[in-house]
Amino acid sequence: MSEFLPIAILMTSLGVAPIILMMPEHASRLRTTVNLAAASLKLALVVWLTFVVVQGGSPDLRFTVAPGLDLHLKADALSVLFLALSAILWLITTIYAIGYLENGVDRSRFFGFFTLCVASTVGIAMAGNLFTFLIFFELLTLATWPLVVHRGTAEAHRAGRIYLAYTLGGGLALTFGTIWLYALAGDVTFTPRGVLGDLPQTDSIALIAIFVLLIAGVGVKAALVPLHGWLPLSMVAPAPVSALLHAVAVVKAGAFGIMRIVYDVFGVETVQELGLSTPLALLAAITIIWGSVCALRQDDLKKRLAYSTVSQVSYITLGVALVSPLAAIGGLTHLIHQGIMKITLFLAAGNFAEAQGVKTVSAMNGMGRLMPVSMVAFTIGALGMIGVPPLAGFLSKWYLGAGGLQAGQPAVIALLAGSSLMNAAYFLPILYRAWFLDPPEPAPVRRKLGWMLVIPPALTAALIVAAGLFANAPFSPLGWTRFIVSLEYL
Amino acid sequence: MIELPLWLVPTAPIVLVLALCIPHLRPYVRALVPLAPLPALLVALADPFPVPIRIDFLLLGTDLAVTETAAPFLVFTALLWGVAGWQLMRLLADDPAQNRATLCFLFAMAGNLGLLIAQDMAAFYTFFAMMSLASWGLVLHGGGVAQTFAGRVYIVFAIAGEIALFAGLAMGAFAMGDLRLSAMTGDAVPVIATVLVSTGFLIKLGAVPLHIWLPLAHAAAPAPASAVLSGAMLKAGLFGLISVLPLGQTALPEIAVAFAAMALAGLALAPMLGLVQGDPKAVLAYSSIGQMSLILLGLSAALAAPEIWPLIAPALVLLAANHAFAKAALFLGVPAVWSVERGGLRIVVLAVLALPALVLSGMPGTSGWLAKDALKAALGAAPEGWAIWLGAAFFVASLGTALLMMRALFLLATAAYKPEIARDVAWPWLAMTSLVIFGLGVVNIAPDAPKAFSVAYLLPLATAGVLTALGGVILHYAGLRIEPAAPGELLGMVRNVSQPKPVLSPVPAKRGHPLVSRRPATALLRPEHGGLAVLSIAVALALVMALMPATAPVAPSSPTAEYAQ
Repeated sequence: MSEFLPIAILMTSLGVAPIILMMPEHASRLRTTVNLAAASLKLALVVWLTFVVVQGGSPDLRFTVAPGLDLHLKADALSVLFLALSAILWLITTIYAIGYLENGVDRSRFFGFFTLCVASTVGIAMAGNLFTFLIFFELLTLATWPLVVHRGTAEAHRAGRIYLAYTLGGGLALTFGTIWLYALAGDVTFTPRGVLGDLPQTDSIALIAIFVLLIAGVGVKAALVPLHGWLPLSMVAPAPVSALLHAVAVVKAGAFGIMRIVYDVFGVETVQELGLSTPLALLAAITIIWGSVCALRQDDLKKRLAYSTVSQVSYITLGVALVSPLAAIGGLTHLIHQGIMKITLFLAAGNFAEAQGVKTVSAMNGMGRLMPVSMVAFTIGALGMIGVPPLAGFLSKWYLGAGGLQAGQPAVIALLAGSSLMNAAYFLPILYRAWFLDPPEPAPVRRKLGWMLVIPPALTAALIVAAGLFANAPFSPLGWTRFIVSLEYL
Repeated sequence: MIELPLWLVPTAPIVLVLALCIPHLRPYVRALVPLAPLPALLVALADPFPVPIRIDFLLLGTDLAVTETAAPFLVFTALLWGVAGWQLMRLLADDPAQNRATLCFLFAMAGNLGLLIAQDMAAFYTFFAMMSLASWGLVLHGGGVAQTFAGRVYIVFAIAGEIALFAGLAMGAFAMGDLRLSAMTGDAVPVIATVLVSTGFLIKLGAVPLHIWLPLAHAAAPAPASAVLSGAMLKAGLFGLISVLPLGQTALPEIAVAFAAMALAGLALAPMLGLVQGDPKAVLAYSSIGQMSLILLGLSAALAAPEIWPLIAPALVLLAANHAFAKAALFLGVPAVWSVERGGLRIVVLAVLALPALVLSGMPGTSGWLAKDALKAALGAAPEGWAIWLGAAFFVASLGTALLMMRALFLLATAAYKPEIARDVAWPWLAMTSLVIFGLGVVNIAPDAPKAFSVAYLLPLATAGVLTALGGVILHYAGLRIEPAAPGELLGMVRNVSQPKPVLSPVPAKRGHPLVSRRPATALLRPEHGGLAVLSIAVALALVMALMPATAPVAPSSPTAEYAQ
């Protein structure tokens, strides 16, 4: 029975997406029911899958497309990490999106592609080989574009064009890399500790070139500098899309791709032998600093958050690139931690814009008094990003720092210190304005928020606290990543 | 006595924070704030100490315990938070932002009490950060120019301290493979980790030159918040240093020299900078810097000569507890003075307020005198070279404190009457004053047996009295007046942010002319703060270098000499 879990999980979104797309626009109650039922079902199935994987199971499905070319779905511990993130946050974001677009237009189109977007992340999470990964990765690119341009304004279309140019370019690099690798090594099944290390007499120059192509391909989505240009522009999308984009879907798919390529295609040892780990770590470090520097200069709240994502997602890359189990724990656990923190920030920012029309940092005065629940959630997210304990972000930094020392790179500590300092510099002024300055008189109320908009950020904020406070509990993100890393580094 | 579980210590204030979220419960929460530190007090006074607990699923595995060192800290910290909470609730009874202040106060309280019982790094760091960040809200509370400026300076220092602490703890934990806080004292901990962690704590302690935030924050916060900032939270820095330095185990001569330099600079600077302040709370804050410098001097001696730590430790705790009670009583007295008009009643209030001031100045027979004497006796066992300037340092410390106390009392005597402050803010203050007298009996440290009274003990106080009288006479007959300096010291040089104006005591402005005419505000370097501070630090450093015992200047045989043979 559990053998079919991967396909069942995939179908809860991939099968539902066309149904929603075909629904008539006015059938909002039916659409909502289908949406929520699918999201809840998926969450339940992921919980089931988690227990299967804990007991040592690894459901595995193969469909041969052409000789030597398999569609391969496999659920391992790393998949479950990403699946759990996408299942939980999809449910929360769906609730938020329903409330957000209550009187919007083109909602069937929106929710259809929204679901398709999540289906792609599910596929990426469970892809068992590079070919399957590539298919879902490209599907994600295409499914996200209608969401970015959803509002239909000239600005949205421009952002959409730039998004497509970047991601399709990245997709091309990824495709070339995959083809080259298949030509060299045949079907590349994701295996802990890599498959290329055992390859006899491979040309290391070719391997380096393939690595660069693959990383450049996924690096566009992971917003590695200098491939990050599309991300701050695509914040023109509606708030739930930004939240999903930054927390689960596109950016995380890129980071997850880096993990798969380093851990399960090349293997950390091979990457190190090829001399590629240090350049990758350096690239991550530059991205961390540059993202923060750019974030400092933004007055637009969502743009500031977007640059913060550029910076924070590279923590994951850094954790992967530093060849050390502790750093790997830090990086992997940040996949979850960054997700719940950033989604909280974006959902809260969406609420500020919806209810008060506040879109810039300089207009945040007195927001704590006007919208206490959303602002508390935002505060928890921001403090978590800075790395204030006991919130989730602290643990990522703690393990990354220890990992840097373990890898013999004490400069990582300085990098983390500098990054925390800059995070504080661009988040604390927002908190100061919101809690200690008076709101403008008279406070303009644009829209009264329903529970569907207020509860989701509060819920994710609670997750941030729980993930940090109960870090040592068995099923915390940290506990799960320790389990994964023990597989990779045994 | 009832056995209380240790987790109740930080949880009690946090439960109140959660209750604060429900509007109907807010009046009850405010009434309960003074009782929130009660569990901490009870576990600290329990005999034997409550059993240590381990909460495995929390953070990275949380260990809580009351240790021999922590118990006295816990006692005075809990008492201070309770009494200060009592006054804060009365003082802010009509404040529109009282819920925000209550929330920050409770979080800071939870952090301060929690860090004293945390045994592992993650929990300790969590509580420390909770305390530091929540205090930001207390500093900012008033919302004026002074508060904005102080808040900005405070948060920069606090974040810098947090990050230094994080980096140091991470390095130490990795080097030792151990997450317990006590692992930081191990031999394998790299020096850079010790330096970083110490920097984090020295910022909290207000050691010169990391003290700049301190007078600003203490002057800006509401008086009861200043009382805990000064009385309890500075001691968290001391507690941290005691926890992470290998005191009594290993000699760290370089760090000892650095500490001694900072301590001496603080002893010299505190009165100089404090006396030119126009805000009584700023004057009290500078006196805290002086007192903490004295404590730092004790730590530096113990780092130079580990064998004398068993003597120094109780003296430092005594000094800390004494300062905690006395300084809290002084801060809590400020609103009590404001609430009465100038005249008969204010004189009575000031007379009572002079009591903790005398204790702090080390009036013979008081606990302050005992504490200073205990430290002096302990330092008597220090290595040879120290004895020469220790006497001078103690004299300067006592003289400086006495002068600052007189300045503070003078400023309070002339302070404007604030009718908006209810007179019942005096009750917590009176409670704290009685704690100054009896409180040290609760803190379980045996001070040295009272020594025979000697006239020499009165010398610093008498000198301060003479100097003050002399100064007053000169000012009067020369027709001069004291012009308060702008807050912020070195930061007075920075002109692109709006800064608070110096607080002027309401003395008729035309009674004299300032000794130094004020330069236009565009002047970059103003001698009355920036230059003075830099110069004094340089002088103090030079002094230490000249006076430090010649530890090991035995000329090492150079490698070339060996080859020559």
